[in-house]
Amino acid sequence: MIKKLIGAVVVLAVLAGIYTFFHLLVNNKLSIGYNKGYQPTQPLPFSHKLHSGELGLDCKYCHASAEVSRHSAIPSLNVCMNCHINLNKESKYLTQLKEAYNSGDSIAWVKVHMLPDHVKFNHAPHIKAGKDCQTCHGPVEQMEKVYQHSDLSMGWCISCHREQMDSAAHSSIIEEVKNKDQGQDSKKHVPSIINCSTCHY
Amino acid sequence: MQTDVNENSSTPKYWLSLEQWRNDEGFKELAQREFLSSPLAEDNKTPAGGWARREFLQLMGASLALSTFGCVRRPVEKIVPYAKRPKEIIPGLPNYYASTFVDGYDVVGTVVRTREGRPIKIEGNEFYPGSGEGLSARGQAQILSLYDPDRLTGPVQNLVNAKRTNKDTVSTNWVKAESALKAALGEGGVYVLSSSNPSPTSRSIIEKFVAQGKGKYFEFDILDRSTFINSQGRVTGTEIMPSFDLSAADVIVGIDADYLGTGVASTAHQRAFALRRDPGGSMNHVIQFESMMTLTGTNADERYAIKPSEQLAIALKLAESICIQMGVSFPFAWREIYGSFNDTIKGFPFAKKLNSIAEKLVKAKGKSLVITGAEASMTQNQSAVYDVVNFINGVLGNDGKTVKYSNSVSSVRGSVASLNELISLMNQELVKTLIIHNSNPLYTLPEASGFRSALAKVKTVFYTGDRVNETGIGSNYIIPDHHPLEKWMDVENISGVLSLSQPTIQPLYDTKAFEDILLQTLGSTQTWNQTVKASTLAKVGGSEKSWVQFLQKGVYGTVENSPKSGRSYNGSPLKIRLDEAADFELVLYTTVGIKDGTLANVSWLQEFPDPITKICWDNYLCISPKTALDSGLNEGDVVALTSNGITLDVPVHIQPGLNDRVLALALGYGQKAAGKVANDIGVNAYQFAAIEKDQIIYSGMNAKFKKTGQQIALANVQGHHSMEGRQIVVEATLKDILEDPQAGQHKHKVFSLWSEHKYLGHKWGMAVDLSKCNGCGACMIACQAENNIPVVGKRHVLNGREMSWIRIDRYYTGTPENPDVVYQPLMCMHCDNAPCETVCPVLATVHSDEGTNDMVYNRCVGTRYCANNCPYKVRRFNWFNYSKVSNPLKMVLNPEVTVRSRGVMEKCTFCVQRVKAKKTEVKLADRKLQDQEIKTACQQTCAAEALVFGDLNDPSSEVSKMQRSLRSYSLLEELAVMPAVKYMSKVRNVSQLKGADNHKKGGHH
Repeated sequence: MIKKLIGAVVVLAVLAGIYTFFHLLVNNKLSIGYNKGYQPTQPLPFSHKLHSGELGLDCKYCHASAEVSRHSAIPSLNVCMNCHINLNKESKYLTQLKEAYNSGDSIAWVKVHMLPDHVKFNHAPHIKAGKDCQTCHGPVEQMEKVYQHSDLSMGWCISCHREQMDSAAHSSIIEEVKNKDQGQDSKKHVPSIINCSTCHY
Repeated sequence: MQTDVNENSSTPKYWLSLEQWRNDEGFKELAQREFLSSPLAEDNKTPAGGWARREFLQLMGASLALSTFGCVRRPVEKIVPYAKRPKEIIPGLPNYYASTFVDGYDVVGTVVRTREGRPIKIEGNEFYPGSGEGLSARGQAQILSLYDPDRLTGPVQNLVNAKRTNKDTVSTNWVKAESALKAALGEGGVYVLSSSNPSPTSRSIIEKFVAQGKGKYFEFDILDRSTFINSQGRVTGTEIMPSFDLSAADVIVGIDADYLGTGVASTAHQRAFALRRDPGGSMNHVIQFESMMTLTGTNADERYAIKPSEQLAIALKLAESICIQMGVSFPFAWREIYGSFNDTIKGFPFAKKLNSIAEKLVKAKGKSLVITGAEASMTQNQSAVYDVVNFINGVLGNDGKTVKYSNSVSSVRGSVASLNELISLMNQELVKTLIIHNSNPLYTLPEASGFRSALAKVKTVFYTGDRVNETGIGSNYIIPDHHPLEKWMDVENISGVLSLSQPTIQPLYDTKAFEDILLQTLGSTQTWNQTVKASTLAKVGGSEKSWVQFLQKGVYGTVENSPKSGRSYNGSPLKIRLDEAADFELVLYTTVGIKDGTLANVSWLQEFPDPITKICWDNYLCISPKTALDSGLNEGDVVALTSNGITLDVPVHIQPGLNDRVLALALGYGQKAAGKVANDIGVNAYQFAAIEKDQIIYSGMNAKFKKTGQQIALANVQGHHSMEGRQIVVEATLKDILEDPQAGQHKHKVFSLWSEHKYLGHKWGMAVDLSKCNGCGACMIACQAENNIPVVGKRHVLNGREMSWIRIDRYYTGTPENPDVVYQPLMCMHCDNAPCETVCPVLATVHSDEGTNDMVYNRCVGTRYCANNCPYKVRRFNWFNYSKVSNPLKMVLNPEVTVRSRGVMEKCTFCVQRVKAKKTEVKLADRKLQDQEIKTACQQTCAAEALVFGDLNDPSSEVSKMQRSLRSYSLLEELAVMPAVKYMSKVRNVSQLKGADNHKKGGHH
């Protein structure tokens, strides 16, 4: 009897567990395979809090390619040296940096932001559209050690793109095109922002 | 469903293969099935297409197990930035470098796209005269040869035994190799052999080197053109290779010429030719007499299948007829020979036509052109044929108009005479050291030439090749040269036009520029790079600024148009040798893909189906359908072919449109040491060639064959993906098109069950002009390079698993004896009502709001429903992990395009990555997208400009204009799938179409 009872409890517990799991998953409370919160230790303890927050460096001073390329790209060491060639504060990390720069053996940083597989993301048009870096990357200027702020999941991308589609600005563009649909000049640029091929190709 | 106007109602008007013409059971079955086999049924004795149940369960088990263990934490990834970033490299953005593709004497200006320092794609250079942005299939494929895993990684030395055969190959270092060269230079007797060298600076260094070594520099091309140049000397007084202006020619007569496919400057010819195939403009009339069906012949309005021994009779007959009509005296020295051809000429099935062809030429005098010169024209009487043809052009007043001497093709320099001089010097043991550069004579030269035995008498042989091939094995030292994409080189192909090759990547291996070695051995302080710059700088303006401009543009100098007419020529006696009529005459020809065999180890080219036969991964003996019937041969039967005392076993291919007395075999195959891809593919047809005092004979040799009883399956891609006789290609004569632009089209009443899509922004579409497309297939390789399309190998091609996103269907029309040919490029049609989209159970293929049919690889589970439901047969399934390639091959992959893995469906995306890149560029620059700013890979490389991509929502765009043309039609319109690609009918400048279709409206059911 007890054995049967235990069996029933176990079965119920398992079922409840499965239910909770899917419930959380469907309601975006739980995500699998995403690296939200991932905060690895870097080979050099570079502080965004110091550089970006306290010293007020613009993100795009170091991550310049974000404005023109798909990659925001970790700056090459010569960008660090723009300042640190003159800032000679005694520090073992700065010595390491300079050694790496002089030897040409660059530093292997640990990648923090992991997009899911099979996705192509392009920084440049997002910056052009006036998005702040913080929108996706969170308060980096307060991070001593950078972590992944958003889960970078497809649902997360799409929700933002949908907002754009619904925004007043966008619907006015669509209206304009509709009005001119019969006419000759229907060639107003409409961002095609939630096609599959926007990110997957 | 399919009835036709032919006498025999079951015979299709357009046919892909002889099997379809005969309506074979096998063909019917092939046409019914999208997938020719299942990997699960393979190697199992289950009926074709059935499931091998046990294996299926095993596979299921394996995939379940894999999916359970799939959920592990993502691996840590590292990012290593540059320590000092070169300022021109921005991660994620491509850089472009002007360069030059040198393929023997076929030279095209190119632009190389690199990403993060590695070249990934080659395009034509729009500034290059003639070819513009057009680039051939071979030019596209050159990129893969850079990453060839079989390249040598450093210099090697062959330990040679007493018999002077290679005993062992060991690696050596540059110090040893160079000191050996230095010692040789001191000893004297240093000779250099290379193919035609288009670089003036390289030539001057080699000349300097051999002068120091008391030797001589010899240039020789295995695909020789020196007999043509010599003939030019006799007839016009100038020994140069003229350039032909096809755009100025109203009537073109080819006698075994292949000016569109494999000839000199074929890319430029394709562009000029296409300009004159527009029925709106003045259309040219093209006549071709040929022994093997070539790309040129299949694009001709009139084509006559001849045998090589008939070339001279035809040329003389035309000459005589033209002379009479022009009132010029026919050269006295030719009368006797001409008389002896009397019976031959009368016996031609087209005997009556020859006079009218001559009439057409005379009518278009000054605007006509007679061309010859392909390998098939290189008979023992080649010089005589060339003399007569050059004479005809002179009489017609074409010299200086369609035959141009001011911008001659100066890169054609090699000659057979210089090869023979070298061989005799080697036999006299005067050659102490021979350096072989850019050439593989031990593979290409037939044994009877005596080159091998002569080479054994040379003390030291250096070879600059990039692999231990046939010549490499016969050399003492192999001192590998850089790949052309790693090397500086100035090129003068058209006299007066300079172009440049510049390094696009650091040399991958321990190689050295050949010229650098020479300079160093000569004790020069200048390096090769400096020498190229110094000698070129003066020519391009002298200042540093002009040098930078030259680097950016890649071309300096223009094509002039100064006419120069030839001297009057009265005809010297023709040098001919007449043999008794042979049962069969052998023709050795070059194909568009493999050509002379230099890029044979590039797998893209091996899997590139020949434009005409559509067979890949083999060479084969082409025989006519009647010959096949008479000798009881089927496709793929192996015969023992004997000619010139040599016998080789080759499979036969039954080629419609071939003269019954002709056997044809492609050159460039049968290499023994070219690498893992090319080794032992096909047979070496060069063995049948004969090298004489001043000419190579590739054609007209007496040959016979014997059935061996063996069979080899030939990988023919045509027949796969058949569209079962619906109206696919629309053809019309020029006369009919001018009366009714819709001539030949069969219109349907179309209604759709679907509501229409709304395209508010762009709506991408494409137009394909079948009149312009010449079927060369450059688009296929361009697509392969751009979109990371894998090569599957012969076995999988036989199973119908080739992965090409764009294919070129070749249809025959008319009878197998002398059919016409239509080429039709076919890619995903991006239908508005796409049948694939409705059947995908997982929404992996969906419609975008810009009209493209998107394929989402990571959603695809591989049901293959979409491929089954696609009426155009353009979807491809990854049966295996074809893309899994190792270094260095994977360096060629385009990082902008996903590499597809096993179990995923794929197809043409309209180069969505290019569309997106351009749209982003436009957005960042705050400007409007211009028409023609986005070009798909296929469009960009098409020299004929037959494919045009663009925005259909923009009524002024080129593609909109083309699609509005009344010549445009949708493929399988009756299905109402509303394809975004439209075709423009094929127009022929003839009075009647083949296939006896007399009524103007096309019909099919």
